[in-house]
Amino acid sequence: MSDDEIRQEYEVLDQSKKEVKAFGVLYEKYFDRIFRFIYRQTDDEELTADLCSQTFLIAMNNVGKYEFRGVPVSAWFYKIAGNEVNKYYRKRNTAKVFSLEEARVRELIAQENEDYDEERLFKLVEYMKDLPTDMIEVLQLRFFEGKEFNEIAFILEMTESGAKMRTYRALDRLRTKFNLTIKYDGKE
Amino acid sequence: MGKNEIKLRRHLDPADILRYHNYPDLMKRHERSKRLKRVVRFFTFSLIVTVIVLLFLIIVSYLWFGVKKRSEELKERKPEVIQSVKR
Repeated sequence: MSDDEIRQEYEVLDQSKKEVKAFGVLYEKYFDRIFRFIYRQTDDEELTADLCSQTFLIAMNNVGKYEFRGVPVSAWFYKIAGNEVNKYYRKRNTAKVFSLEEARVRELIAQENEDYDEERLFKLVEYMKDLPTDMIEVLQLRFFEGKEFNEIAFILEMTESGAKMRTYRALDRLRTKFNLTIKYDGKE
Repeated sequence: MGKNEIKLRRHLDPADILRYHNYPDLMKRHERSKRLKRVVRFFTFSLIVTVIVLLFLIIVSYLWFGVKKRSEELKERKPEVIQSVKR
């Protein structure tokens, strides 16, 4: 996302501070992405719908407090959504569920010209289970949401270098488990 | 050791997500929470004002009773002073 686009989005958000109906543009633009992001951490459509609606309600109620920090407005939505998901799991005190798109995982493996096979895929899933939650979160944001490190840092309330470090460590852990190579940036 | 469950699934169909779009409902909830916030703010303000007024009344009445008590004590002492002067 270019700086101009980020600015334009911020202007829409700024406008919705005065006229809350303007928020609808952002809602329509980001609903799908936030829904998928939450669904990837719950694997339950009804629950995702509730948390997603709660996310946008919180954003709407706090639109007056939002301050521009050079990241897309969507990063703010991701941050609220992440907090809502964490709150839900804290209340329930159960293991977090990460439900990943199989097609995307295949894509990531294929990007590295690895010989794709079912066994490799299931091993990857097994190894990911051993990763701490915070590492899976950065991997999800980086490889499934395609977020830049500065956005990941904003969403997870950490420094950019911290976000990079956590991503590299997570990938290194997976690499050492079996000789799987995933590019650090997750892109071709 | 991690304690997360990892699942693989098919891609979510956009039509499935579309079913959950409901901006008018979100607007309603926003209006409701705004109203609730206003009511809570009003009650908090009223409560603070009531507490301040009560504290003021307590302090004033304490001072008033103190002054009254002292003047009564003085009144009781006065005759003794007069009597001692007469002697």
